[in-house]
Amino acid sequence: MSEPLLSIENVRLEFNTEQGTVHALRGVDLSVGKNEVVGLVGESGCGKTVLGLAVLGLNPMPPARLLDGSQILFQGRNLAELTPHELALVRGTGISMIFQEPATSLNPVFTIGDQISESIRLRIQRQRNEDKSTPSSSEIDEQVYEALRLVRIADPERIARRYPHELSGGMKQRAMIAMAMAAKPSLLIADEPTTALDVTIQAQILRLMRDLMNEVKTSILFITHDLGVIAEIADRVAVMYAGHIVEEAPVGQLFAEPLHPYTQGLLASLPRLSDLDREIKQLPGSVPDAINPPSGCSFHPRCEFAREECRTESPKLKELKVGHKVACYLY
Amino acid sequence: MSLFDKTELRLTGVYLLRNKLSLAGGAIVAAYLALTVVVTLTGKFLLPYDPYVQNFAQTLLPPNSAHFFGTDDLGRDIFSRVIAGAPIEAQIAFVVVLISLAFGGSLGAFAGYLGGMAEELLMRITDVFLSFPALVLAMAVAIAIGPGLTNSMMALLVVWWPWYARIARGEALAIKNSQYMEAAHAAGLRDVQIVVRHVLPNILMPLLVYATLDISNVILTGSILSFIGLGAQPPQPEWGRMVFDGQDYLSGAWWMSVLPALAIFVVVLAFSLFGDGLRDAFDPKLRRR
Amino acid sequence: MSSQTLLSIKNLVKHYRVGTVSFLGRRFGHKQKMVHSLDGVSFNVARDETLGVVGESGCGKTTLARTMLLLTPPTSGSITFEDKEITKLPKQELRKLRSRMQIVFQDPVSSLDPRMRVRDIVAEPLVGVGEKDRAQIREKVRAMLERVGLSQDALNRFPHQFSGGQRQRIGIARALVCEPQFLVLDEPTSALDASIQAQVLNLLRRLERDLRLSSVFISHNINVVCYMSDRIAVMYAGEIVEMGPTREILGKSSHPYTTTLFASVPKVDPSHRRADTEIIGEQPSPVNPPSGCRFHPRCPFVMEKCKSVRPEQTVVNSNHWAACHLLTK
Repeated sequence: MSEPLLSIENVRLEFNTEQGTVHALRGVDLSVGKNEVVGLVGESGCGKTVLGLAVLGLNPMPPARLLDGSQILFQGRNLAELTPHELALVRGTGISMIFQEPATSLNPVFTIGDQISESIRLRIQRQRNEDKSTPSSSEIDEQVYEALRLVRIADPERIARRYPHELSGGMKQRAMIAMAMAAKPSLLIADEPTTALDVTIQAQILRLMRDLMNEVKTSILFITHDLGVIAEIADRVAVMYAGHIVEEAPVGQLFAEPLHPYTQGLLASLPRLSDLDREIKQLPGSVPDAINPPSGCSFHPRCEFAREECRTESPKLKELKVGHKVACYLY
Repeated sequence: MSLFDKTELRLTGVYLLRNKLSLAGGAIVAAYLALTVVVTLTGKFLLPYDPYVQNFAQTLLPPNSAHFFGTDDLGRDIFSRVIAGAPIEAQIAFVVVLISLAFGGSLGAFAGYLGGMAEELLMRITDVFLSFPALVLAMAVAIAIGPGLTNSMMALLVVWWPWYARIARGEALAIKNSQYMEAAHAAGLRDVQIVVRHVLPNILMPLLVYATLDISNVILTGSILSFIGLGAQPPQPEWGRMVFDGQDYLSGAWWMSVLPALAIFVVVLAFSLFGDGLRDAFDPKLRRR
Repeated sequence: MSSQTLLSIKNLVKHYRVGTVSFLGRRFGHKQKMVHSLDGVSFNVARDETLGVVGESGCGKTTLARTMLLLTPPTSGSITFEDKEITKLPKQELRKLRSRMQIVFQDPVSSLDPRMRVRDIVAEPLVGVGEKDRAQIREKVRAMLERVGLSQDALNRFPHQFSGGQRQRIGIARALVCEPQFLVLDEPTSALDASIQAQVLNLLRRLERDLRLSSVFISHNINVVCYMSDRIAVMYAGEIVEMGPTREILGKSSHPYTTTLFASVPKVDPSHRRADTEIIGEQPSPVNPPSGCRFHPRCPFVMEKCKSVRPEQTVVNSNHWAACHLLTK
């Protein structure tokens, strides 16, 4: 297998809060290769958003703390060790990120065109490293329109002049993707990008993202809680629970043969249109407390297969079949 | 039904304790209130001198070991008078604030929740009151009803309740469309029941915090009314009045005006600092690490 | 109307005026706009059945939930509950009726008064109906808490001490404490994680069965609505475009919007990735809905007629109709 684009190794991250220390990430290993969509799936509080933000150092660092031994390798450098300035250079050009609520990510007092041109201008300046000259405005405009066309906006000149509040949810999300892609990053981190959208618009955006990946050759780390969306878009899937990755597999494998009891429980708890008669099974208990996680395997209080060893030590990710890893003492 | 949530109180307390300045204010407030209680209960008993007894042999003495604050133009011990006058300030402040809170707060809560004509009416009425600076309006009312401590309290009351009505209305508006309000409606409760069960408890905290901050304002305004002769009448040892009485002697026996003024200043500042700290500690957004 | 029908709404319309300035209770404003939240919605809910209402944001389903229970007065239309017309009922009478028609809200955080204890929250509908006997109230609250799977020591606690799923259970207990006949569920599990959602859905199914409830289950999550409902109504731009038994509509939908809506739902099965059935455009603004059939600007089968004439409810099967000109050709 060729060199991965992004390699996350043993990442541990904590937050200091009034109520105690939140162990958000407890030793996460994940990699994203070239030209692939890796889905990161989990429920609220599992740490998936924190992980996405951690790659780009976007967790506010006073309350958050990346522990020693955490490695985030990208293009030969450990992002965890970069200075804020160096990290800022990676953002937008090497790795871009889009978020759930386009309304809050877009600045309401600037037009769409202005915001996209900001990232384009940055990229051009970085490419022309020594030369401090600013690129011409028509040059930038052309690239803005190109970025908008890339996200299938039919009338880029008109839309570029609009303000965020004048656009619908789907359009705003496309504009965000345009902004993120304008700098042609090698990796796009998408944190719940379609969760706030209507299902028909979601379908459009997912299709768009897939197409973009093929056209521009950008890999995507797609973070979501929605297993249906993962099934639609991901090549490989990693399932997160309580700050750990508990299972990782190619998408077909994960759905056909889920190995971890949590994954199995999650899949069984979803109502499916194809099988309405099946009574959905519920997982007992609730998502663990991030400040006081259960001992050993975090899932053991809710697991029907829990044994003695599950309570004492946390299982490591083991590769059971080719490409299919699971962290569970059952195996 | 509880108005006070333990965790919230604890966090508020924690933040309050970190704020040294407001703690200092709080200490002074506590001392002042304790003093008020003691004086009210024991009357002249514990005072070094009778605050009302005149002594023409001892007029205008500067502060010394026998008279800590000196004596005034009628030979009365100023220190005893200042101590004796402490409850008066507290009385004015608490009566005005509590009644304004109860009356204005309830009106505002109802108006805010009910909306429509009731709200409009309240808003226009409070507009009238709020368009005047409190002091000016209080003066006007005090002049109209005549001087005297009770009258000045009434004047302050008339002027003060609209502020609480406004705040209560704003807070009521903020929670009016919460889902639990809808739930109460869906449960079949009457509007009055909804306001009493849900609106009032939820707006109480912000109102209380404002009230604490407000006490210093009332004390100040009250003493100013007395200073211009409209409030407490002689021989009551009200601080503002004492400042007024000492005006003519400022160049010579400055202690007659300055020391009571200092007392006003200290108490107002204390309440202000404490109320400020309380407000900051109470509002989750303002809490700093 | 058969005695099997519990609730019947006919031509329910709800319009809101926006962009106005109010002064002394009257409205002034040069840019008055009308939001057509509901534009003539009609359906019946029978005893013991769950009707699902599905639609995307802005289709009017939340307004429907509120208006159906007269939490907000409709602009026009009629609502009949237990064979009685209730839209013009005086406030007193309406309040008494409330114990029989209840609602579960979406947001577990804001649907419970943060300053009230659970026992008072759940007891509220009993207070609303005028129950004065404290012992009775206590007993019913206890029983209800047990039914929804919460322990008795929840009684004296405050909402913030519970998780989202538990708070929804409290909300459900509150809605059911008066033993209503009819329950509206407005996105009851949308704010919950998948594993918790399953718990609450199973609970709801059990309660609906045990208490013989009629309910209207509203959600944007199509999988969930179909799982929970016997019949479903598909809403678009303030109108119902298709309504019928769940299986039947799933098997073969008659309205183009229904078809594309269901096709857009991501399947939890990567081997069945969606083909290119994709829908263009976005929901119309409720202020200026399109003329004729509201779906016509986005419909792949649009005809001339669709742009000007509003389609009628056309029967497809018993209990199944759709509003589309394609069916009347």
